[in-house]
Amino acid sequence: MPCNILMCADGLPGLAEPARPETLRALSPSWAADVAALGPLEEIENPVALGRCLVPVDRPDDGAPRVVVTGRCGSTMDVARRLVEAGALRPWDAVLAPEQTAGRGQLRRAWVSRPGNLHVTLVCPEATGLWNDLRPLVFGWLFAGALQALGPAVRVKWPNDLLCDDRKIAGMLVEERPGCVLTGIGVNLAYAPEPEEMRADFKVAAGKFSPRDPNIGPLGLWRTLVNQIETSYASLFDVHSPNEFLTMFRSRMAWAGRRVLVREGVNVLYEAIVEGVSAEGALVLNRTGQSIELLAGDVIPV
Amino acid sequence: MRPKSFEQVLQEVKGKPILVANRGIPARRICRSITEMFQAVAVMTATDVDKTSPATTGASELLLLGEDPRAYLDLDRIIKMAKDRGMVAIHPGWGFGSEDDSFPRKCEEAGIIFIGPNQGPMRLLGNKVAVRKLAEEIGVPVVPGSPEAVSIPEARKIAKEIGFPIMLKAEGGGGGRGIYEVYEESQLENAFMKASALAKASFGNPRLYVEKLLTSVRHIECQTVADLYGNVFVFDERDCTVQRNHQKLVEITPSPWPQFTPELRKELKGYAEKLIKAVGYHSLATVEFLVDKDGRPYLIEANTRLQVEHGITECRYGIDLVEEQIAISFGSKLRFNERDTKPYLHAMQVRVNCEDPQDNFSPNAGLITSYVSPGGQGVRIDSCICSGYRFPSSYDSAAALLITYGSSWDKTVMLMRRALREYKIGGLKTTIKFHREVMKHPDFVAGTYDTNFVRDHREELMTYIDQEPEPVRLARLVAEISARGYNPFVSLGEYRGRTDKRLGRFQLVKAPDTTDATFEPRFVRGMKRDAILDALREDRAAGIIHFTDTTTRDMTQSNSGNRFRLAEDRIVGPYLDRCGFFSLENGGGAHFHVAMLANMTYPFTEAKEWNRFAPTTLKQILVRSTNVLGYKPQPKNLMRLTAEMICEHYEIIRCFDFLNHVENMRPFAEAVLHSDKNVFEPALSMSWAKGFDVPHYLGVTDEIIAMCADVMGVSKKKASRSIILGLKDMAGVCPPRFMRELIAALVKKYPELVIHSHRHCTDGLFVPTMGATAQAGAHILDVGVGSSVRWYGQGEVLSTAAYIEDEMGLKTMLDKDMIRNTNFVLKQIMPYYDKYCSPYFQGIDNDVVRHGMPGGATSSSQEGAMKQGYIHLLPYMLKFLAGTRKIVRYHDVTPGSQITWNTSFLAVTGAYKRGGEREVRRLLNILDIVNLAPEADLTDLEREARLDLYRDSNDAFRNLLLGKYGRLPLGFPPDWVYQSAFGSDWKVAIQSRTEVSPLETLPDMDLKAESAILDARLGRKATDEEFVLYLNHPGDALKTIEFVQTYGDANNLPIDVWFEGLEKGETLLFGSRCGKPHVMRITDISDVDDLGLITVRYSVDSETSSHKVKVREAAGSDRDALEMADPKNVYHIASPSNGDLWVMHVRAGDMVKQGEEICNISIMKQEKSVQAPVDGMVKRVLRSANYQEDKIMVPVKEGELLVELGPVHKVCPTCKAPLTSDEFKFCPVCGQKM
Repeated sequence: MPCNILMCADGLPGLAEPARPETLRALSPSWAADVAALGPLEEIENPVALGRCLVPVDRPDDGAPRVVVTGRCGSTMDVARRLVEAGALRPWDAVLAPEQTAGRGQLRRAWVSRPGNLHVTLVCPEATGLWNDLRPLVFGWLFAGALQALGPAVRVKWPNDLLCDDRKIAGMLVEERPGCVLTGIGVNLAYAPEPEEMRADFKVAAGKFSPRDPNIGPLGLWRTLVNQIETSYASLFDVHSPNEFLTMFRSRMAWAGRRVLVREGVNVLYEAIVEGVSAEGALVLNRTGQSIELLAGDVIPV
Repeated sequence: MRPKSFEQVLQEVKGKPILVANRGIPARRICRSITEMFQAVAVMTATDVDKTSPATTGASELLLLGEDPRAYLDLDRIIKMAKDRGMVAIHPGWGFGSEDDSFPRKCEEAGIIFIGPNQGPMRLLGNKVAVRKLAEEIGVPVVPGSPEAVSIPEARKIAKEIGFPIMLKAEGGGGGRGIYEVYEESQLENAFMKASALAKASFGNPRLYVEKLLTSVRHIECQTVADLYGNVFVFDERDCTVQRNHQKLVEITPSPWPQFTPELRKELKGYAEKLIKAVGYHSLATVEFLVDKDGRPYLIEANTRLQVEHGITECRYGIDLVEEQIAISFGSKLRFNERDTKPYLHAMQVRVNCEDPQDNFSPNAGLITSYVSPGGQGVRIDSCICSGYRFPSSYDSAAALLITYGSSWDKTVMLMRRALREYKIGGLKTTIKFHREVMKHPDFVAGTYDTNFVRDHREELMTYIDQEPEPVRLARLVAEISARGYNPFVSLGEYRGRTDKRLGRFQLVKAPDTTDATFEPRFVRGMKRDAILDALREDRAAGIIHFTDTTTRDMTQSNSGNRFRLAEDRIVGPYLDRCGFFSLENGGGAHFHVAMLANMTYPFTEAKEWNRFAPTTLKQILVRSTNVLGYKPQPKNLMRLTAEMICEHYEIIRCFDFLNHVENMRPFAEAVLHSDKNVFEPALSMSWAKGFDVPHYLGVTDEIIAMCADVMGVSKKKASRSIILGLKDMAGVCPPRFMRELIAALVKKYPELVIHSHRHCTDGLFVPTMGATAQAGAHILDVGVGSSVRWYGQGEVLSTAAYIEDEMGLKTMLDKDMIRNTNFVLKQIMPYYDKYCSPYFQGIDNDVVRHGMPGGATSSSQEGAMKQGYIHLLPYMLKFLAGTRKIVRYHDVTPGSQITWNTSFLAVTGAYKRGGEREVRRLLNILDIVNLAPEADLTDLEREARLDLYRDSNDAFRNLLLGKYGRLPLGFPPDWVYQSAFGSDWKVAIQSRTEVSPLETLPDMDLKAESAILDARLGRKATDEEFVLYLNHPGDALKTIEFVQTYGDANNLPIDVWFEGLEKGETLLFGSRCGKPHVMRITDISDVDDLGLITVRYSVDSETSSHKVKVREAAGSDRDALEMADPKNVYHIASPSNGDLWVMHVRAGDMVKQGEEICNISIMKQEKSVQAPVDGMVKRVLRSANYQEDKIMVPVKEGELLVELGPVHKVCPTCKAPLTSDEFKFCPVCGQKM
């Protein structure tokens, strides 16, 4: 599998605990399987900013995307940001941790991050123009497609929550800073948080993504996903215009035609029907016959 | 099962519920058949959007599906509901579930009859790959290509075999969707990936197969029907060749293609029958072929359902296919056979869709404001719309299927043209006008075209103008005016409000008919130039003086620009035409510009119409030499182009130049003098001042005659016989004694020169001066009609006539009673112009002799001074005017008068700003000294002081000094004027002065490029008139063109409505371009709402509408309060995009480092970090948010200022903390002593 694994044996002081095969194995059966799949490991010299790392003995040496696996951390977003700033990560590289103590979603909402689920931050390639603005939709659509190839149908709730059977099985967060765009993704693979674990105003029930191969663990899943996504991303940009992309996005959109409650800005709440997405990627809603385009805000089914 | 008879089925079905699982046109169509012969209960599915739609009128009952627009696709739910209701059968219609082969099986499982084929045959015929395979087996020709879905290498191989171009078709596609055309091998890879990805996205199936792309083909299909017992009948072909992107637009039966032979028909029908029989199919099906230009058919697909275009087959045969289809499903034996079922008519269907063909057929949803459907013999309509229906955006755009049928193809086409003319759908764009163009196209009528017809003839088919009928548009204009109470297009500002007292309705009372049957006009249009001029000379010799009426050109002027509208011309013109005037000056000068600026009328169209309603009297226009009809010199080619158009509509062309630079008139002289039905009237611009004396004007006249002689190639004597000399005393400053002296001198020198005198009556001496002018030898005098005369225009006709007849003993040829009639009508009209657009003050001003401001310019000067708060300086300005005219010498005629006024205004207000009235008085003092004292007597101090006189002058004045308008009539002013106006550059300025006509140096306009720009702006080809208007006044021409496109000809509205609008409950009768009368009634005008809108509800003829008029910005609109960041200011931190601010990290007074996150914006869940561009101290925070605390996000707009930083003054030498002020004595962070 063309994906370079770097297990951060010393951890990253102040950011992440060390990742050792034995501790990972002990976390969950799926982690045990993931570690086993890596085969024998060897220790290599300090790559930039990563300290000592364990890597598979028979690793490909082709510049393929790397996955930095750390131990328990606050948030993979913060780890990845630090590593990008230190020049240790390139686009399509990722940071994956089995557990996060301060996993976050949009607007610093907490993301329950227990071992067995996938928590990863992907370093995104730069994009320009409309493609830059559409990034949240692009990644939503790409991950939905890649996940669906492994299991049940996945739809995208605008802009990029992933749903199976109307339950949220994965969430995404894009953080953009000059020179550093990160996409964090969490997939409920082993556990879905119980209603009481979720924020009070949640409206979409959490669900679990069940791949056809029940033995696939977080690391295995990621190795499959990142390859798929990198390839699809490249062909998407080569072959399609943003407009064509939006056509494809619409076909994978959840809740089209459905009545939803829209929360916009300061305490603005109203009901509307989801119509689609505009040429700029905004969510198009029909509010009593009037067409509204929503760029920020959230919708929940009524 | 034993075959049933049709009658048995009727008995069986009667009174039972049959469901149509569809909406719109198909649902309504099928319900009709269900309720006719069967007398069954027609039930239609309907989502919330559709449950009150017009299509539901056909149903006896609805099966409500809720609000999800996709519910029509949820077959399980529909079948369950149908079962619960006890439906005996389900018809799927077309679209939605009609091609889902699980539908028949699911129905069968539920014990409901599916009105359509069984699953097996449906699946086989519906699968393009399978049907192709089958066709090959049974000997039906197919398009060469891959037998099934392929990979890229396979595609490449097959393409090599069959040759490019090829098509990539989605296996799951259909109805023209999912098809990619590939013309050469290099495109294949890319196209394959694209097509595959789109196919995956659109149909959930990425697989593609390859087919040869046939380049010139017709699309021909055969309708078949088969019963459960193996009986099959195939109908004549339907020709669906008029398509766009494989979507059918027009369907015809039989094919009008001349090459369509009976043999080909037989061949196609044979193939269709073979195919249907091969799969054991029952119910309706259509077998589709492409036929190449040699008549070779290729099967493309079969459709296993009722088709949109089935109606034309019904019309050709006089049958009901849906009725037959239902009966067959219940076991009836097929009633059609070769012996009895004969075609006898031609039929054609056009698809009327809510799409805008001119915008690439983009769908448009919205309210249908009016609906008039065609009817009569030979017309059939299946529609799903009506007036007042809000056409939804969620479904396809089909609004109606319009069919015509007749005994021949020609009759069918003529019927369709007629039906499309009758069809009116208001409120949104439809394909009706596009179809009208199709029906007109010779290739279409001849039947010689292929499937690329629409693409190949795009230009011809799309150049129609799609606009609502004029009465609808005019009514909207009335709503706009009525909501405001004033007309925003008049350019007079908010001159009245809705509740202000009105002048009231304008109801014209016509003058009594006093037409003198014996009255013969001396001059009529069509007379040759020489005949006109000879008649004038002959009459003058007999003591007869003629008059030109100027009422309609300029009399109703106002400061902000308004002149007589064409609407009132239409009333007055026919009277004026019979008064015995030499000519009517009805165009040119400011009138030309104002027609567009405020009257929203095309000036040449106006002139053309004048010649219709006042056909007899000569028409006269005023042009401004190089400035033509504008205010600055125009290139020669534009002058010529305009002159040609002018000569078409006007006989007398008066041309003046404010500098009397005769060369500036040459292009006009060339255009006019070469036509023997136009008379050229070069005019002397006249002032009365030192240097502008009789010898001076004789000199200018010599130049004029010499120039005309040169242009005509004749002697000066001959030239003087061939023109009229105009005397244009614009300000009205020349006294009788001067005119007497001047004309005597002119007559003496050029005894055969016809003289036409024009002056204003500002000085109060109009009548005696015109009397003196006439007596001295002038032939024609300019006058106006009584009730329109104001001090700023010409004097009055009857008083002038009385004076010269009774006091001077001269004669006139006026029909005075007809002038009285004209005056009676004008008396009713003038109050509206006086109230809403007359000048600021209207009294006599004999001081015009000193300050020289002509006509309305004095009044507009006063208004300008008043509005800018300088009314107290007006006496000084007038003094400055009087003084400066003695220094820089030219005539105060457009544009000179504007230049002089602005120079004075700027000088006096400039001085006032420098040192109050004291400084103004000093300025005027020095002006007096300069004008009184000889140059040699001036002190150095005075020479220094006079440089203040023009220090504030503008570019127009400076250009005048440089000679850019032409040669100054008395030469350049003294050097100190340049020193004053140009400052340190004055020597350069003097060097660059010129005395040649600007025409010599102005490059010709690139007319082709300008025309392209205009056409692009309008989105259509501009007319010749529009082009000339645009070249002369680009901005105002566009305003008028766009106004006319939006609202129509506003001259159809009476003057009271134009100025005041209507009140609630009032009724307006008005006409429109087509000459039909219309009635509009305003039922309500709302108060202004929070969004700043007023809603006007009204009816036009039988159509009820409402229109929202924006009268102010929305209350509390966030745009108002929004402060935008200055992109050039590094301390301004702007929002990078529209979105929600959810966290702001800083507060005023905080220190920030470059690159530090200041705040974060969420947009589509992308969190954008906004960072400090530089080190600095936070001065202001305009938006704050802390979502984690309060769950409140703040919407922000792109470019909005979020945070303003300030520079850091100093840094602590020890801890490096920035210090916010120089006043710190100790570092606030570490305590270091500063």
